[in-house]
Amino acid sequence: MTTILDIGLEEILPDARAIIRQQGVPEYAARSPQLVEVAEAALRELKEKLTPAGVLAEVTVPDFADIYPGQGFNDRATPLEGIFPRAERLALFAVTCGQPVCDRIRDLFFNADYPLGAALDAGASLAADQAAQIAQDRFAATLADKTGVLRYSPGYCGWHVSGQKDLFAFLGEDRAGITLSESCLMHPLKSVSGVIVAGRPDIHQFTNDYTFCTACAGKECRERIQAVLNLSEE
Amino acid sequence: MELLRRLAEGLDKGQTAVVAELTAQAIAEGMPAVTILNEGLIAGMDVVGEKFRTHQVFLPHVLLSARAMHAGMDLLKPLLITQEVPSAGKAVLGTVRGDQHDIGKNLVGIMLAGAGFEVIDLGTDVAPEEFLAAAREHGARVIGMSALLTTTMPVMKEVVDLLAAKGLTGKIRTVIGGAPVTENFAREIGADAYAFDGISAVDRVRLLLAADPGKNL
Repeated sequence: MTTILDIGLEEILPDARAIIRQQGVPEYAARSPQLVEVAEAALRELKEKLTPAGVLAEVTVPDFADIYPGQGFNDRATPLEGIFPRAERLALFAVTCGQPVCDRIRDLFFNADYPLGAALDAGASLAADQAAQIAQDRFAATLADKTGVLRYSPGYCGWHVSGQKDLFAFLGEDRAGITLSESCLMHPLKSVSGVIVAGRPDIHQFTNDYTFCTACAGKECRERIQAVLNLSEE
Repeated sequence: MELLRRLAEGLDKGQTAVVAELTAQAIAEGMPAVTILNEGLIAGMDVVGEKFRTHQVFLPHVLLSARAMHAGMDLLKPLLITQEVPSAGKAVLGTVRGDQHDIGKNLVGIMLAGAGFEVIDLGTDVAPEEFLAAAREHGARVIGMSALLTTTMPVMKEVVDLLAAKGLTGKIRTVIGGAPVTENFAREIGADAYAFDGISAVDRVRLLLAADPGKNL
């Protein structure tokens, strides 16, 4: 059954400092008044334009085993194919920041207001990630303590983006207003989908020596896995 | 010249109104458009680029300058056309098929335009054939490709292979970038260059356009 997630604006709103950091400005760097002014303007725009929505649907391991191969374009070997069969529970999710903020970002770039466009883009990305975290937290709240919970998304770690077709087919009519393009890309742009995997913390552990790992500049997966493993030791 | 120095300084500081005012003043004084462009606007952007490279400033600062540059260019563009000043070159840009992340690609476009290039931005989710068709239609000698997903990076190789199949390797150069993309990956797939960010993309495109067509890089 698909559950509509009630996501409050305040729950996903980043602060100006986070928006600046998201744009690649390190914490130690001086923040000029101009820069702070742009980040605060982006924050005001976010308050006005974010229309968060989301859905969550529990899925069985056998059902997800049918969904995961997607259109057959996944990498030959992926970490998730070794993780989800050992899950205790799984849930599919899709969350979005809504179309108005995406339209506003496009308009700002079109009108050459690059600083505000980029700051709003950064803020909306943070908000979308936070909405995905809320979906994960809501699912985790239904689980026993110390269950290891992590989410995985099409487009990453060898799960081809075309996997979204079957993922959204499972979600049915309730898709939080998200549609897919012919290339299986989500609209509105600032949306996140994927599977939330819950089980023993150690099921999430994998060695990052897959072919796509060498090409991946972000190593956030290491921190996420470690955080889940730490949970079991607490 | 003092006016051009102040123009470049205004650009460095990201002062849109100042840049617009000084550009208008330079035009009113009858300064050649190419001089205003190269010694004022582009000179200022080059300073910002160098500061970005050496981590004295970061992306939001560069964008403030880019907005100021755009304001100056808006005034200058009609003169560049009437005085027949050629652009620095043409580049086709896009995020590859299956990927709709466009912020990095947009920033590269902004930086290239700021450096005097004519940019043909194809948007996101661009098929290999579309890159080739646009490069041919506009006579662009550089194709810039962006990808944020590891699963869409192989499309970059499809474009490189397509150019090879059409006998265009070396005639149309390729430069690639995006969060998961590396110099090694560029080498592996036979792309001509890798750009880490918008500023380095400008450097790479300048080098690619300066290279002899057909010569291996």
